[in-house]
Amino acid sequence: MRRRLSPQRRRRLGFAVAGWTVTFLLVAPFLWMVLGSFKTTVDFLAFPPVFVFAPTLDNYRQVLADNSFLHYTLNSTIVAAGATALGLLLGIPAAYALARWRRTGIGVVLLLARMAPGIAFLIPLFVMFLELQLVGSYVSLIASHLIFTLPLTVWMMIGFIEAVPIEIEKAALIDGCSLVGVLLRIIVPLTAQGIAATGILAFIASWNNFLFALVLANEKTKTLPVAVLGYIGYNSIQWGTLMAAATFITLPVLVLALCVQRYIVRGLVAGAVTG
Amino acid sequence: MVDVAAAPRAPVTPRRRRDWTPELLSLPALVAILAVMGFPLLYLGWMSLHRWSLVGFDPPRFVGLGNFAQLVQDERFVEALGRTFWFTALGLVSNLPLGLGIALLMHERFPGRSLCRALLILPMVATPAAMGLVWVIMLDPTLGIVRYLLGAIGIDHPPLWLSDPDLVVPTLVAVDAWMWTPMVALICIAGLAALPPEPFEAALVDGASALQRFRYLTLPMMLPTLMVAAMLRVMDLLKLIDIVYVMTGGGPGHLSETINLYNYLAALSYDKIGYGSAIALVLFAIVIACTLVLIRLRRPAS
Amino acid sequence: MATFLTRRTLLASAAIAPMVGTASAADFDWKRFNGSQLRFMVSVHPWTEWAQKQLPALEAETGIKVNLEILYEDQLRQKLPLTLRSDPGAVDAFFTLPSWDGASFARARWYAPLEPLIASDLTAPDWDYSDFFPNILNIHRLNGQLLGVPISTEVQALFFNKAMLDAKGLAPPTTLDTLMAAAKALNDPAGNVAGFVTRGDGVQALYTFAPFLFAYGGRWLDDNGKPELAGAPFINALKYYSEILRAAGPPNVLGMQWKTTYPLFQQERAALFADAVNFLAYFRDPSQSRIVDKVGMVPVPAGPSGSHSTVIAWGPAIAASSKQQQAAWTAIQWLTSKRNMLAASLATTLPSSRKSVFSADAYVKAAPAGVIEIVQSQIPNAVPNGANPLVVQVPETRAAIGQAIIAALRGEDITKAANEAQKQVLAIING
Repeated sequence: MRRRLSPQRRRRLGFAVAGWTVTFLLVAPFLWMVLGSFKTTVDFLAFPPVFVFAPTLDNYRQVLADNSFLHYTLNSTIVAAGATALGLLLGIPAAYALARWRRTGIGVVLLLARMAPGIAFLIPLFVMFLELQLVGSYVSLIASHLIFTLPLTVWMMIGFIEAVPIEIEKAALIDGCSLVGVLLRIIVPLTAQGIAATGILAFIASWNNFLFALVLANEKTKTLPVAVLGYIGYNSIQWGTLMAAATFITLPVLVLALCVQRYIVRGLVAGAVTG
Repeated sequence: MVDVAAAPRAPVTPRRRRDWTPELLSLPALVAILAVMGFPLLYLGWMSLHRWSLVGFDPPRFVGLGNFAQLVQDERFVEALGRTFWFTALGLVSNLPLGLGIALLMHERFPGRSLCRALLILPMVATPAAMGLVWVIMLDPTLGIVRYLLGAIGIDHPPLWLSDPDLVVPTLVAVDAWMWTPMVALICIAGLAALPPEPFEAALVDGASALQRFRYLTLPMMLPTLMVAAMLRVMDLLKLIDIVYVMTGGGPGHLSETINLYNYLAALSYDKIGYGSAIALVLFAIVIACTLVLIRLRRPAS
Repeated sequence: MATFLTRRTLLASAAIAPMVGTASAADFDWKRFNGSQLRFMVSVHPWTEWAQKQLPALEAETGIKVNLEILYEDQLRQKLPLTLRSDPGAVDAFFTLPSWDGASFARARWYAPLEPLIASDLTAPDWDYSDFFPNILNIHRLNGQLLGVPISTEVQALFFNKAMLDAKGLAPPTTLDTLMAAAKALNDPAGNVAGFVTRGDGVQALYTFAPFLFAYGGRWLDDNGKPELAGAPFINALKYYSEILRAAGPPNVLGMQWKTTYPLFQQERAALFADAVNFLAYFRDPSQSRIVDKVGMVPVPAGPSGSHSTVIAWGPAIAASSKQQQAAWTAIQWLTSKRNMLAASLATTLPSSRKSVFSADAYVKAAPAGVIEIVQSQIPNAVPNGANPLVVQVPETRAAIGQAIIAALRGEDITKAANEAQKQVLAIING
């Protein structure tokens, strides 16, 4: 006789099916892209779609053989790390200020940065950095990326900071600790996971951004998203190589994001609801 | 030495003199933002009052509010404006319920739940430019895998998606939803986790059905969270350009052109810097206005 | 104001005698500008990709170091004007497409005229100016001045799938009527195969629409530089273009860009395809194409006024604001010398703008079958820079005319759409 599932287990099974289906649907296009990175162009565009095929590593070989691609990866890393680090350095004190004192003026200015249409800044930023002789430098890219990493950092850190019980800080201040000391010795350690989550979201935003690199970067400082667009040729698209390049760009940030996924969730809502 | 607070939040006592500590703490951030954004905004404002072409060495010509006057009569602008609002509305109507739905699903315990939650991030992380191209190929009515899958369930004549004047905007909204609904879901997941369990337990004891619990407990309590998600989405949807540029270029014709795309084309393609700047400023004002409306709406609810 | 290149001016200027360098062959000093550092801003193109690989050899033979910045096309169109305007002297040479940039850059006086350089002793005598096809050189000639060096010859063609045509006993169509008939006969919606595919995206379609406009005796602009879009030729061409695509094109042809048209042909989902000859190389690449052995080409279809392809050419030009124009010219003439242009043609398979290369044995052997004939047969009647009206405001004009094409493809009133386009383009030109 077959054992029938209890209503509870049936319910759990139902949710599992639904949950996995939804997840699969969301992940499917990305899987298709990764699958395509192992196909030749003729297989990638084939109809009916090809699911069983002889995989090729040529696309990846081509992407990596192009020395510039590794160079662009380095550029993307430098810019994203710089924009993230600067965002954290400047943003955490500001987030602390907004979390502990409720001065909305500061928050509004930061929110404005999030609302502005970035494209409109292309020409002014180019002109500005030209005057400062910084076009083509990492500085101009990092500085322009601050437009979105800084508001994001403040936004998320507010929530994490509010989760820290204020009594600890009060006690420290009574003991004669300075405000900077409070930040460094209490807030930062206690929100370490939040900082990691925030940092990674900022890193991803900067990593994927190609808008500012279009005009502010030159051959030496070109970042990955711009390089990926280079696989759109004059009158052909090397689909396999494009997919390989796109997968290559996504993997590092994906791994990072998966590591701290739990804390991203916490920060997104906390910072948002109270912000 | 700093006095310790009587005030509930601040560890520093509010003295007679205004306490400038928060401003000092945020000064570096404010200076940075103003440095990187301040000049461009002023420049943008200045450019919007001139007619200026990059090609050549003619100096900019002052036209006062001429660009803005022209905007009002520009059919293409007015249509793009309406279309952008339509994009935003469709986006909200799809993202929010779907996001909440996914969150409710992920709120239940089932095997593999944390892996599922972790994978939700994937659409947000993929490079928009490359993913846009992948979607174009997947949706192609002749070659795409979507056609194949639809054919497998018996639909032989697939919709034309990006080529159908009535479907191009919803299709783009769907691709955008694919990318950003996970973010709404993640926000809602955390929101659900933060809800107090007592009301739900009481409701269960009282014999309320799942639907009733959702309607009278979950939904009202999640309203603040949903408002936050709505705010973030509205800001991005009003400025939508990435996937439109990569997937249709605003086409067919101008049928999927958003305000931000028109701004981009006017300034950088048609070489009308002043006009493009005017469009950008109008867009900025609209985003600010809509965000303020949402903030107002949120206050009474929370 | 630039003199726009019409076929009339083309025939007239073909009579211009080429100027020849005066230095003696033996002792041309390639290292005269040894140590120069130049910046060239170019777009993605098979020729620029080839050029990038030549940079070490260039440096070895001339001592000139070139920083070749390869941008994708849209990016070049934003960054180049921005740089030339705000940072004069930063860019020494750039890649230009006269049908697009020509009028506006010429008006801005951003090109350095090349003929004085060619005539001086800065040019090696064996560079041989007269070796270039005069018609192709004229593509880069504005106001009578040569402003760039064309590096290839890009004409269009009608591609066909031999197997599909043979199956229906059809000969490759060479006229508008036979094309329409063949496309309709080969159209097989039930089998997921289109009869004919070409660009349906308003802005991009001007390129493939142009040969049809010319086939009906039309032209973009009249002799005064005003648009001729309200006349019978444009309207007839619109009617034809929309009829053939609506009847025999893929279902999603509305808004179709080149990035999704050619894959259909490559994957045997279309029997006929119209676009640039350059695509042939990809159709013969087994890693990309299913039709390697089945693809054939004929010239663009002939209408009441004959068969007229467009002919365009990218090429390097020297920035007028550059402080190192002579060094830049040395680098450019090295890259465009007979020896190097042959190497380029062999590497890219693109038909050269030099007569000697075009007919060189090595190239004839290496070129994809049919390319040489298709170019040679169409050059005499091709419309130089015919891809779009030669106005200063090209992108905006393309968008306005593109709207008419979109309207026609949607089955709307064609006469009305044409008049609307005429009105808008006039406003753009005058405004």
